[in-house]
Amino acid sequence: MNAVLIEVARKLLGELNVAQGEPEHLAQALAQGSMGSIEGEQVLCREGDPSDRLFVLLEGTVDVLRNDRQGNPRLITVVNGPALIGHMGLIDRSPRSATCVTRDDTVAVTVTIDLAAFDKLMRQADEAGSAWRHLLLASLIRQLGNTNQTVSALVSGMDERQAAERTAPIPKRVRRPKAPIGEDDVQMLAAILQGWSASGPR
Amino acid sequence: METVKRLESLSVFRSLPHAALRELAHRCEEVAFGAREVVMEQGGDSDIALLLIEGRLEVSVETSGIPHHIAVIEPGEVVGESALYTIATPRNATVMANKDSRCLVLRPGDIQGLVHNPALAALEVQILGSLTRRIRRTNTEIQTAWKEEQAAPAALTFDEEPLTMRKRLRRIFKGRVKE
Repeated sequence: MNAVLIEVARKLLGELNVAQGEPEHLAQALAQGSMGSIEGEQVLCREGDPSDRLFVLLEGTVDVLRNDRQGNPRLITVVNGPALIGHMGLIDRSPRSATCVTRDDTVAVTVTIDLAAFDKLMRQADEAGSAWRHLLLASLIRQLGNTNQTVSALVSGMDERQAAERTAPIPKRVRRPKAPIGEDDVQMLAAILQGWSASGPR
Repeated sequence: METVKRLESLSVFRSLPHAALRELAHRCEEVAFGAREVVMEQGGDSDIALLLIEGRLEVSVETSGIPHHIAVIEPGEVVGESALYTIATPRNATVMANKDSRCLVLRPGDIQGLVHNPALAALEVQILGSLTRRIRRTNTEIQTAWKEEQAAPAALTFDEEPLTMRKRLRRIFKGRVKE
């Protein structure tokens, strides 16, 4: 078994706080993909395209972009390896929700797992399949936890504001109205909170 | 046998070998909850997960003493999965039985012992799909919350500087979040 893959698997398991799974078994799963390095800027996946593979970013940096209403790409977040990219699209078969591009000033090392290999791993009732599913599960559990906390914080903020409006006197000073939130801002916020990084809570 | 029959009725386990479901039922304890009974408490120890095989569960997150409904769990779905797949963290939500419910208890040791069981593989795939849907749905709720905020009377600020999106995000995540 490739020692590099085993070490990468160990890092991935540690990064995502995966409770179960041996590096050797996860490395067996990763070996079903194709490993490669990318120098310079390259599009890994494009917004709106079918999800036909995922990327395990072992090293390097990837910019995640979404188009605004005018069709201009806007940077949503930056993902540093080790991390998973594009896995949710394979799970629910939805189109890409963003464009991912490797940075032109780094070398990205990736394992690409195509749809056929992904589906096979998902069904495998053995140590490799189990380790692979556990990696994905830990990643999504973290994303959901972060997202739920954000929902609570936002709603809590609204509850407090609504409560304050009911009880607080109207101030006499003239205040400047805040800029309205645009639809693009809403979409950007949702994309940020969808959690593109597998490394650490937001 | 009753438990195996209940498992066979769940769509997640359709077309799986009977022996696989029998092993799952044999290994995992079945528990019952009455309507409105708290199944898991936010902040509590995270040591088991539950596979709902009958009934309905509600998931809520409490902030500043106010519970906010997050999700409904139907038969065939799992709650508390973080206990199985991530290193121990406290429960981040409260789960309550919406009506009389029956669950299969899943412990970390069960996951290790069932690694060659196709029923567990099918269940884990189902959990992945469920988590993905919940993430996408929660993000939609965030967008809805923002739109409602936009529709409310404009809040005023004493700050004479333009309120950029970056400042607004900082205010949302740091100014409004209760620790």
